[in-house]
Amino acid sequence: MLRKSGLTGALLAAMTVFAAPAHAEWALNMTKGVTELSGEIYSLHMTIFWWCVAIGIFVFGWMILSLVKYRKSQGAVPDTTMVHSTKAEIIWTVLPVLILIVMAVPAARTLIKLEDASNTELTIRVTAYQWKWQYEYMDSGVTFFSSLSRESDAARQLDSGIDPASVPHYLLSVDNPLVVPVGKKVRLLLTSQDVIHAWWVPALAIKKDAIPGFINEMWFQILPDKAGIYRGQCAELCGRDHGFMPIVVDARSPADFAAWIAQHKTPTSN
Amino acid sequence: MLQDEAERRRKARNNAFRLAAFALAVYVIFIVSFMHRGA
Amino acid sequence: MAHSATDTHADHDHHGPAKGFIRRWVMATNHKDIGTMYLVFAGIMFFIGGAMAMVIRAELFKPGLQFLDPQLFNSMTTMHALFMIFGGVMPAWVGLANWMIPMQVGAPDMALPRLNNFSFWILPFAFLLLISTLFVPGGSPAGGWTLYPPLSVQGGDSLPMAIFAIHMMGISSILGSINVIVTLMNMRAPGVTLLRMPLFCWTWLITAYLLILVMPVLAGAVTMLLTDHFFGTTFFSASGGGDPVLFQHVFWFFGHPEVYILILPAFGVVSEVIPTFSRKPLFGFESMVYATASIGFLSFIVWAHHMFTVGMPLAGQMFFMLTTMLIAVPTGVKVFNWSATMWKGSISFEPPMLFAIAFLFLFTIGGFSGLMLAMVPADFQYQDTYFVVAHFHYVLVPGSIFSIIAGIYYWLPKWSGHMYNMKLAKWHFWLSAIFVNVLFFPQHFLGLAGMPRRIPDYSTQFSDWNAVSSIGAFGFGLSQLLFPIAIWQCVRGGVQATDRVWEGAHGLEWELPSPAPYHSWGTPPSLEVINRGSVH
Repeated sequence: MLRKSGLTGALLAAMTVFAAPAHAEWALNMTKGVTELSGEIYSLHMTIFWWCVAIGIFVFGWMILSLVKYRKSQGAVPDTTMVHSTKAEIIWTVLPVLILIVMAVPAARTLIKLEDASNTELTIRVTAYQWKWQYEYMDSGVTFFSSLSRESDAARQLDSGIDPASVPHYLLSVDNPLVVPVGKKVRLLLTSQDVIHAWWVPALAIKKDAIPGFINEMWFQILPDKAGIYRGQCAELCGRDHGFMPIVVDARSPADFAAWIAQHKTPTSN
Repeated sequence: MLQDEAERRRKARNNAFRLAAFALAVYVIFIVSFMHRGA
Repeated sequence: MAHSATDTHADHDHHGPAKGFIRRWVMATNHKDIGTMYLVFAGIMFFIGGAMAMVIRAELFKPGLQFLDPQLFNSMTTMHALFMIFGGVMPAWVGLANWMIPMQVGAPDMALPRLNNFSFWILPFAFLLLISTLFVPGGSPAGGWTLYPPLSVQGGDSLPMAIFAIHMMGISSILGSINVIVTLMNMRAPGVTLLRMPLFCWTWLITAYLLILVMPVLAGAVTMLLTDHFFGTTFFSASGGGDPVLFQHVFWFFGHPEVYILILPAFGVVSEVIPTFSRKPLFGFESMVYATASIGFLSFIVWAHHMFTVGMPLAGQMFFMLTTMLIAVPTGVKVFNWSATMWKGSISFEPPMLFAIAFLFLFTIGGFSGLMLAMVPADFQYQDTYFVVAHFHYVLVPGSIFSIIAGIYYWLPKWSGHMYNMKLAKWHFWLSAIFVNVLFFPQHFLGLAGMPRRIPDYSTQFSDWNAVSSIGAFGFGLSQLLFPIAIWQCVRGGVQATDRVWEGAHGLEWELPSPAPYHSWGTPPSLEVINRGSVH
């Protein structure tokens, strides 16, 4: 799944010449994700990236031109009177301020949307432990733990002798995934039982810390046509097995989700 | 000239003491200001 | 370009260094000796911290755990950061300050030489204590250099040792910066006004003030960790009414100015090197000073951008996003001023200039990723991924460390009296400049593709760029071995350096003979010498 990437440039081209091994990925960029907001964040990321490229072309172009044109070896004579220019200095103070304003507006707009967790249709409490997640569906009472899958756990032991490439979704698979409905606004209430962890699924473009003694809130709404499996990891250093507490989200149609809840409600709820 | 340098060193020493006292004050104030957090 | 007779200073203080290791080095009060000790110490720490980085990159070369237990991996990342930041970069800047500040402002020595001795000699003990934690039960600190509780207080015996070491480092830096401030404020030769100080002195002055303001805050934060762990307080524990996030606020209130403590003196060095090898005065000297001061000020109101994911109120996130973006303005002014300095110059490419040019390009790339990280919604995707690792290594390695190297290659002939092996130094430059990009550029891709930082093992989709990055790391690490070789050769001998050393060099240090006499500016420089050395 080598992604079509917005990143270009000679450097990248030079780097991607490397021959690709069997499980090659060579991914260069963020993905658009599967929620409306993740798409918005992706475009924000690309907008600011292209601004940086534009500014870079100007600044680096100017530097390279100086380095080529004003070489002593080419007989360049220094203009030692050029030490100050109020006009230039005002321009290169004011212009960046304007560019920053242009960038800040869409960022602020997206941020306000991200923080609006009203009218959610489903609430799931996420409790972090060293080193697993617990999910509790507040409405139906379905509760379970989710930890690293057994195959990955075997392969990740020091000198296990198991080739990680032979394990499907190495380090990104769990025993019990978090099942959610697509098209519904799902609210997560995050907390922790020991140290600080962070819940992150890149395709949903949300990340927040799970803090012992406090509850953090975030939400996502997967686009109706984006049922599927989405994977993430704990994103805050949480001790020895920080790298081994993945998150798997299984997004299903509302009907399949309701069936799944009904199936799990009786045996596991309290 | 020598006297001038002695004078400058004396001023430097006094300023150093002030700066050290300032640093110590920041340290103490920072801790004390969070004392209500169950300390 | 006034090539000068160089014996204008009256070298009336004729006695040289004291004989014997203990009298000369342990009891050192001479700013040059202490500067040398700082630099040698920093060099040793760079290689220890670098060795830890090699261990990290070896483990990350391919998926699966090959060498390290995850706990030891976490120790390595934690110790790598502490050694590089507090043992490498900061002492290197203090070493350069010790050597250059008295020479640049016409002072005979630092204002408080015995204090200077004390602030150096604390450091070896602090780092002995810190590295000895590798051998205590439970291993060395493994909760990251940021020491976030509750994770950091899970550590064993290493926690109080690390905290005591941090306290010692803090005292050392505070005393060192007090010395810099009073030297610059009280010991300048008559006629060297504040605005005639070179930019290296200016940036160090602002750095020193930042240090005095924030090191006590760090000391306070780790003291509170200590009392939480041993004396039953609950500053950072919700169970007793505290808040783990409070630690992060306090830590980053120290931590963000700390970032500028590491980079501001680099701006100073680059502002000296670029004019010299462009044979043209620095463009916009005063705006450089104001930009440095603005960066220093802004550094105190941006700290929470390190912790956007802790769940701050919307208004807080907006505030820290906007202030963070503002930093791009004074930083931009600096980059534009450096570019304008090269414009219409007469540029030559000696090793210090090569490193300064690499700084210009690569630090700017680090600035771009910094701007991207300021965008809160996008930051939710970047936070705690390799994108952040790439960002801060771009500003710290080709930023701070390249400038330290540039500064050493710039002033080394003045210190040793010999030119160094230019060919070797250029090899050092090209290998460093190429490998540093092979090492860190792919980490942008890894972060964007979703690889979290501080993990000892990763999913196979991240294999390729990790392998590239590790190859870059080994290449970069090996090429740094050329640096001590070049320095050692230069100290031992070589072509006699002229007093001016570089054709375009200006400043009081170049009015002294090469090598600089053990006691310089015993008599303050005359106004004539000051005017000749001054460029603005």
